[in-house]
Amino acid sequence: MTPMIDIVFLLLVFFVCVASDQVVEMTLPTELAAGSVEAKLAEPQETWTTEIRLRLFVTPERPTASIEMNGRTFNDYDQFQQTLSALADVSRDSPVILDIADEVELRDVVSIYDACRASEFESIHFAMHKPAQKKKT
Amino acid sequence: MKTAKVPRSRSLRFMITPMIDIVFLLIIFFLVTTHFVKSETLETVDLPAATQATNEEEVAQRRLVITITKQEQYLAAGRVLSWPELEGIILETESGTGKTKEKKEREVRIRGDASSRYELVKPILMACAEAGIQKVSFAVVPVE
Repeated sequence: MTPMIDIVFLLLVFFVCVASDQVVEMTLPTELAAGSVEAKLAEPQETWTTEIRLRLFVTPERPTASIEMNGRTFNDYDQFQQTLSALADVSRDSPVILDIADEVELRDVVSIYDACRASEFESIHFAMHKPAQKKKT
Repeated sequence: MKTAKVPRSRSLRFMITPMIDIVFLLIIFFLVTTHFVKSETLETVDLPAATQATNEEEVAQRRLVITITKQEQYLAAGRVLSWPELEGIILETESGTGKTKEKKEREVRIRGDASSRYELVKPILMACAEAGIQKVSFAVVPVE
């Protein structure tokens, strides 16, 4: 009986040590438009709401990305989030377009996308500039 | 000729201790192997945090995990890849046997370091859209 208990305890210690080192990974899903590169925005309707264009860019003055929403620059992230939530309360079907500069860090990209999802917007798009040399199939 | 006599008085006993040893060794072997198979491509990266993070409900059969390291390298299928190689895997131009139905069932998971630039993520999103892959997710950690 004693060797069995020894081994069981060794196993227990091993898995406790291994498990404690692991970071719990979760998922932030996206739904990309399939079949074509460009996703068509919804056709304008009578109850059309303006699109929300979020531009993320980096300036030499600020270490984190600056946010510009429809021409208005936000320096405070909480203020931006409140404005976004207020806009979502008015119309959740407004398309949100994320225009992100190449230099922006992924943490800021995920943070903005996360804020849009938290505000429960129905359609969130990533703006892309298609390379000229690529052929459309 | 004389033969050695085996005393028959000794009863046969079933030795349980070696069996337990071997069984546990087997268990350790399979558990450790499974663990390494699962985390083969899981290079340690500092993942970005998100409030809307969810647990994975179901994993597509054909899932490609792309890791973007802090050194701005693409890692997939257990090796470091250049962008043309990775694009080839996403677009399935290497094998040239991509059927539309199969492509839609594919899934791409981007495990990017929080400090990596969007410049490295953007072409992946473009290639996925081009390949018709709808399920693209970002690996994140929950906000504490």
